[in-house]
Amino acid sequence: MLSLDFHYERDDFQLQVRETFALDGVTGVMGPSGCGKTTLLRCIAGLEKSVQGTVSFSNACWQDSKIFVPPYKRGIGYVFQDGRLFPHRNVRDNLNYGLRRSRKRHGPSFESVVEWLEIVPFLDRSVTELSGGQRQRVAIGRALLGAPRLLLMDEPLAALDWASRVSIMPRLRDINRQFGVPVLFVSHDREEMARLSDELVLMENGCIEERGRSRQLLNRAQGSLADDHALSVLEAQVVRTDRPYGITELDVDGRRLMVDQSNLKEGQSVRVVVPAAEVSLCLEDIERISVQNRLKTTLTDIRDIDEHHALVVLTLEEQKLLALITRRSRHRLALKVGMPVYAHFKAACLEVV
Amino acid sequence: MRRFLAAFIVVFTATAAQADTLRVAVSANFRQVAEILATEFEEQTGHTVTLSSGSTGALYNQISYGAPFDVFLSADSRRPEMLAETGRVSGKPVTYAFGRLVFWQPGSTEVTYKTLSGWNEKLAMANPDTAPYGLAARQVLENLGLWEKKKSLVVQGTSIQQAWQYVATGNAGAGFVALSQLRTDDVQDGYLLLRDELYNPIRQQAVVLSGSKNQKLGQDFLDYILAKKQQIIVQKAGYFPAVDPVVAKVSDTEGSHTP
Amino acid sequence: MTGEAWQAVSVTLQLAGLTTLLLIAIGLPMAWKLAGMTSGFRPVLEALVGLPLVLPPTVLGFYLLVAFSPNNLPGQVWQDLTGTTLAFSFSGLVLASVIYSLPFVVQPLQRAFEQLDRGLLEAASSLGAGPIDRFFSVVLPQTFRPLLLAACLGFAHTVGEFGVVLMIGGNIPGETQVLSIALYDAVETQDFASAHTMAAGLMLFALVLLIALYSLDRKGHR
Repeated sequence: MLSLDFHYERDDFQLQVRETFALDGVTGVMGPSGCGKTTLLRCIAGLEKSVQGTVSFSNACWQDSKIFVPPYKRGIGYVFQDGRLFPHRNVRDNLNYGLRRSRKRHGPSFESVVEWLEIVPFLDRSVTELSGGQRQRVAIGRALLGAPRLLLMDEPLAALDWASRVSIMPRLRDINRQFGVPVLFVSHDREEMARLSDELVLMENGCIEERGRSRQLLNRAQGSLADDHALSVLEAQVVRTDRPYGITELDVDGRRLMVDQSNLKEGQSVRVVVPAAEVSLCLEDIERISVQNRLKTTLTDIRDIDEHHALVVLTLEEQKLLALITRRSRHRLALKVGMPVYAHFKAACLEVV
Repeated sequence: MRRFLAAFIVVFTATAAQADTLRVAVSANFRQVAEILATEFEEQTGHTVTLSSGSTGALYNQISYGAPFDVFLSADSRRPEMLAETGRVSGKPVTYAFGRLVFWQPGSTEVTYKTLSGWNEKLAMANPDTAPYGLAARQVLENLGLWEKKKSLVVQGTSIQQAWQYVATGNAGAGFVALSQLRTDDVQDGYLLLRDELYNPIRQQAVVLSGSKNQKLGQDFLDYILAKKQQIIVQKAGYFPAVDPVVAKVSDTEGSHTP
Repeated sequence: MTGEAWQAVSVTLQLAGLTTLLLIAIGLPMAWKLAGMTSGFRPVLEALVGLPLVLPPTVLGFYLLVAFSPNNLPGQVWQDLTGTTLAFSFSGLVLASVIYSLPFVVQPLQRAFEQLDRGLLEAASSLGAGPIDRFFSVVLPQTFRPLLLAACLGFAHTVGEFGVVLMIGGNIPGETQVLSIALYDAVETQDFASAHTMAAGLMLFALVLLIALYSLDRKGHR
């Protein structure tokens, strides 16, 4: 449990936070650049000195009017956007830096971390020879080997190319489950958040605007996330992986969903991220169509979000799916709350984590 | 405008031709006196005298490597002789003053030879190898049989100027300095004027340099400072005059300091 | 070379060595503080440290001569503590050299510390490294070259020191007669043979050191 009640000022920027986080799983902090999400993380880590107020973490006071526990005594791990590997040490020595100074018995072993991150082949390389993705994996490993009680991650994927992101993303999702470390994850990328975070905190102008379960915050047609980049997250179980053409069959609220991914295991719980713009609506159940996914849903909310677009909330049984349509379509189809609607989307557009 | 310019040029070149500049290299100890003498010389002749002072050794080196001086007022006789040997001198070296050495212990009311022989703190003097006053100081100690005993107490300045600084700032409690230095500051007591026979005369010699284009003026300047009136100024400044022993006897009031 | 000249070499090396050690000990924390300083007081401190760069050594020599005098407080305190005077002593020369060569050590170190990626220190801190740990595990390895450079500059500058020593040294063989002074005396007494030996020796030393420094500097930029 992380309790924050502080105020921070720098030049013309202010950060005002009064929140308590349960911190089970991955907590995402999202907002536009300059909203103060990185500063929030730095304040929690103790990297900003002029913080006024209190910070405490599971019964330990990290800061109040009298106490200031310096970062190196907080037992945190911090993964920076730019990695910040020590250039004068090779990969192995960078990893050992965290390990040597860790609360030894509580942490994961060197072997388990390097194998899990798949960095064994370049342990003896200089960090300057690594690609961006490799560097970030080493940075994550280094932080984990410090056996942190709380892992802070500041846009660890922002500087990476698409291929590197794809290779790291599943590991980030795993950290919490694999090592039991609560993670506070900062990003401005909605898709990253949809995939990784369990709880989501939305920031704006140095304040926390909204917070809640990620799915609930993302899958709605109002609030700051209801725009033409809206997306929804569906929780699904893998049902069959032996379908032809490398297709995997998932179950979402009792409905079948086909995805283009072959590395999943039967019975596994996964998240499916569906961009709202990829979903089209049909009032009838058409079978002879190339689109693989046809879900029967009920229209539960509809809102115009700008001059041309409307966002439609479709409810399966419990879970919600967003669709972005034109206002012209809305009127042409005469969409109303309570109507049964078929949602169509291609298997190839889905991201599964 | 043209006429004005022409007139200006005539006047300018005329004055330039008439008034020469005499460049005098003067050993640092004699600088103060040389200034007085030079100013009077300028007033009387209308020429300009520029003074460059430094240690005798340094000035000697500069001159032997062609420094453009007309006259050299050395603190010793060795350097002028060396210059004469290498043909850098016009005429012969002349003695213009004799330096006088004192043992100075600021703050004390009575300084005697006993004070000197009993002294066992830092003792400042000029470097005997480079400075004439340093050599004299060493001779004094040797002649008093004190050199071996006092050697370890000695701190050396590169010149008599620096020896004076060491004592004046209090970094050395006592030292050998020039009488002329104490005269400059009007120091009345706290020093012992050392007997002449304890050290070889500090014969300060001057030469006109053969490289000079103003040799005539240089000779005039030397003649001028050797004249009786100027020698009295030299004597009052703390030197023995060079030319007229009668003058020396009449106005030497320091005799009483010498036991 | 004469025995006295060798003695001067020995005094010079001892002086430069001890001065360099002290300079590193004093200069490191000083440069670190200065590099991290944001207050308006910083230029004042920087100017104070940098003074010996622009002042003629005679200014420093003069003030030190005055300060070292037992008639004045600093000299008095020293005399009460040690029973000796600072002027004309090896300790006095060391003190003067430290002041005189300070900017040559502090400035390169300060520049190095300013260029040091502070992000690496934050990373080290987040990994559990305290300030001293960070200094040895991150700062030192990252600024090793500039540190070596600073030490060499401080050493070389002390060897090349003349004006200040001339004014406060007292030219005592084996104690305060350093090479540059011995050289000066040799020239003054027209002993050009010794002067040539010492001057050439100093020149060769300075040249070798500077070549080493510049090649070190170049490697650092590669």
